[in-house]
Amino acid sequence: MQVRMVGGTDVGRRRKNNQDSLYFDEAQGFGIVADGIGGRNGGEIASSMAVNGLRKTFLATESIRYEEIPPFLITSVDKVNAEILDRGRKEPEITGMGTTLNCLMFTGGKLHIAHVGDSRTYMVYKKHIFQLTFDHSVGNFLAKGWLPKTAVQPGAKEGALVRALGLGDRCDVDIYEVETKPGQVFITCSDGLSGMIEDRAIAKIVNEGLDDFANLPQKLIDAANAGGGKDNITVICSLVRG
Amino acid sequence: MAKLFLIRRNMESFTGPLSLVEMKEAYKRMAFGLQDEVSGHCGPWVSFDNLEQIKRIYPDVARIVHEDMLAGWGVSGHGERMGGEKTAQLQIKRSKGLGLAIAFAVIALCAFLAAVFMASGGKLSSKAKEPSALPGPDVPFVMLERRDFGAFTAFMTEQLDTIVDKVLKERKADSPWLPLVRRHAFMTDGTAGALPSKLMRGEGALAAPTDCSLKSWKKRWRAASKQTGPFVSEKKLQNQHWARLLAWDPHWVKRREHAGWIAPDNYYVGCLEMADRALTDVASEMSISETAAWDKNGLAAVRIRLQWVLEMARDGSSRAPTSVAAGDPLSQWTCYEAAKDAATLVKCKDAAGAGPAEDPWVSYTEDRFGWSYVRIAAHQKGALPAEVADRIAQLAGRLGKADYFTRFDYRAELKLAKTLGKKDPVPVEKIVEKLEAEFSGVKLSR
Repeated sequence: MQVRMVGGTDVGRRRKNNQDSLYFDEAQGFGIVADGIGGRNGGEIASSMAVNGLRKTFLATESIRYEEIPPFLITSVDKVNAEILDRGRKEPEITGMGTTLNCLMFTGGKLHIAHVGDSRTYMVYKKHIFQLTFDHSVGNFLAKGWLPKTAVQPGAKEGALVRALGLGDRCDVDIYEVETKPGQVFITCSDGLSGMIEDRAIAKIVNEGLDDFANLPQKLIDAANAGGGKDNITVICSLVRG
Repeated sequence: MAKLFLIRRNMESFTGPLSLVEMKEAYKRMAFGLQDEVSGHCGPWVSFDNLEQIKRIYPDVARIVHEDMLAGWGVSGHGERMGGEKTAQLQIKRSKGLGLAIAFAVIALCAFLAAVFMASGGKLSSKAKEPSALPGPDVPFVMLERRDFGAFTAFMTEQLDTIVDKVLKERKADSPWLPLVRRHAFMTDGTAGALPSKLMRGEGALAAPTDCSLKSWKKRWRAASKQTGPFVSEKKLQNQHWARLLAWDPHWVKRREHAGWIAPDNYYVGCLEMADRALTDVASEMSISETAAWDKNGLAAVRIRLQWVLEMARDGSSRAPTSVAAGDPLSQWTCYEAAKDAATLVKCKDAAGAGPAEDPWVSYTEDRFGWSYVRIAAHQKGALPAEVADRIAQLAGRLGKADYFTRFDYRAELKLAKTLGKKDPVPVEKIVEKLEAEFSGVKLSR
C-alpha cells in the first residue's frame, strides 16, 4: 500500500498568529496536526512541542511491530504531555497552554490514529464522508453521559475541550485503527476547517479535487477562509493508493 | 451509487465502508455486534441498539437491525412498519390450484405429526419452546445464595439473550440484571453475548482492557510468549495489556469498591481470573519446545506474579512467594506489596539492589516503593513519628496522581501521602476516615 500525503496551514482571516502546527512524511506514512490553545504564544508553543516531540520519537524508532503501535502512540503522547506541562510550570507566561492532536500512522494495510481534542480525521470514500474521530468536547461528553451535568461549570461552552495535551498529568488518548483500501482519502484537520465548512462541502471539494491532489489542502483552506476563516486552518490529505 | 455505511467497533476500530448487502454479510461473519455504532454519509454515529435513532436517521439500516440483528432476541418488529420506509405492498392473487396445494400440505403435515405423536407413546417433544416470560432477577439471585451454581449457569445460559436485550433496553448502569450477567460471564468465559464490553467493564475499571474474555487473554498470552523476555529479563516496561496487568497493584484494586458486582468483586479481579485461566490453558496447549522457550523468557516469573496479584486482589492473601528472587524483577514489586512494615520494605529494596535512577524501570519501581510506604503508614494508629512523616513528604514529591504505566488513578492515595507528610499531630485513622469520605468508593484503610 502506498500513501500520498499533502498538507498546508493558514493563519485564517481573523487571527494574528498561527497556533496550529503540522508535520507529515509521505515516505513514512506519518502525519500530525496539532491546534494549540492558550494565551500569548502558549498555544503556538504547545502545538509545536506536540508535533516536534512526536516527530522526534517516531524518527528515533528504527522499527515498530504492528502490535506495538498503540502502546507506542500512547507512550509518546504521554511523554509529550508531560513535557508541555513541565514547560508550562517553568514559564509562568505560558502556564496552562495546551494543544489538540491528531497523529496518523500508516502501516501495511492499516492506519492508526492517535487523537486528543477536537481536531478531526475524516474518511472520504466514493463520495461519502465519515468523521472518524470523536471530538473531546463538553457537549459530546454530556451527550454520551460521560460527564455529569454537575461537573460542568455554568456558562461553559459546549465546544470547550474536555481533553487536550497540557490540561493535566493524565492525558487519555483515543487510538483508532482503520483498515485502509485504495481510493480512501483521509482528511486530518484543525477545527479551523471543520468549524468553517460543512462535512458535505469537504467531501465535495475532495471528490472534485482528486485529479489535482497536490493542491487539495489549499482548496480546503480557501473554502474555510471563504466561510469566515475565524480560526487557523491546517489540513493534511492522505490518499491511499493500491 | 450505493449508499455506504461505516461501522465503529468499541470506539476503537472501523469496518467498512460497506453497502447494506455487505453490512448484512459482515454481521453474519460477526464482524460487529449490536453494541457497535454505524455512520452514514455526513451522518452521526448511532449505536445499533438505539433503535429509535437508527429508525429516524438510518431507516435503511433499521431493516437490517430488525431482520438480522434482533432476530431471535425475543424482539418483535417484523410486523411493524419502520419510519421513513416506503415499501410497496405486494398484492398476490392466489390461484385456486395454489390454495388446494396448501390445504393438502397442511393436512399431510397434521397427519405426519399425529403419526409421530402416536409412535412416541403420546409424548411429543420438540426443540421449539413456547416463549416464556423472563422471571425476576430474584430467581437467579436465590440460586446463587443457595450456591446452586449449576442451576444458575443453566438459567443464565438459557436466558442470556433475553436478559442482555433487557439490560440494553433499560439503558441503565444499575440494572439489577447486570451483576448477574457479570457473575455469569466470569463463571464462564468472560463474555456475555451481545452485552457491550464497556457496559460489562463499567465506569469503575477504566484502566483495565475493554475485552477481558478468556479468548482475548489467550490471544494476548500467545503473543506474550515471545515478548515477556525484555519485560522480565531486561526490565523494559512494555505497553501490552499483559505487562500492565502484571504491574497492577493488588492493594489499589482491593481498596476500590465497585457497585454492580457480586463476584468477582470487580472487573479487575474478573480480568485477572480470565488472564490466569488463559495462561494455564495456553501453556498447556503449547509444545514442549515452545514451553521451554517461554520458560527461558520468564514464564515462571510471570506465573508467580499473576498468582500474587490475583489472589491478593481477590482474597487479600496469597500463597505466592514474596521474597526477591534473582533474575525476577517482578518479585521486587511483589515483595514491596507483601511488606507489612517499613523495615521489611527496605529489606526488599536492598535485596533487589540499586540501578541507575534515570532508568524507567528503576524510577517506576521507586514509585512503587513509595506507594507501599504510604500504604503501610496508613495502617498505623495515632500520629505518625516525625521521621516517618518526613519520609512520606519526600516520597509524595515524586509520586503522581496516576500510575503512568498501569493508568491507575492514585489521587486519593496521593492526597493521603501529602496529608500524612504534613506532620500534623492528627491520628492516621482520622486522616484516613476523612479522605474515605472525600473519595467515595475508595477504602484507604484496606
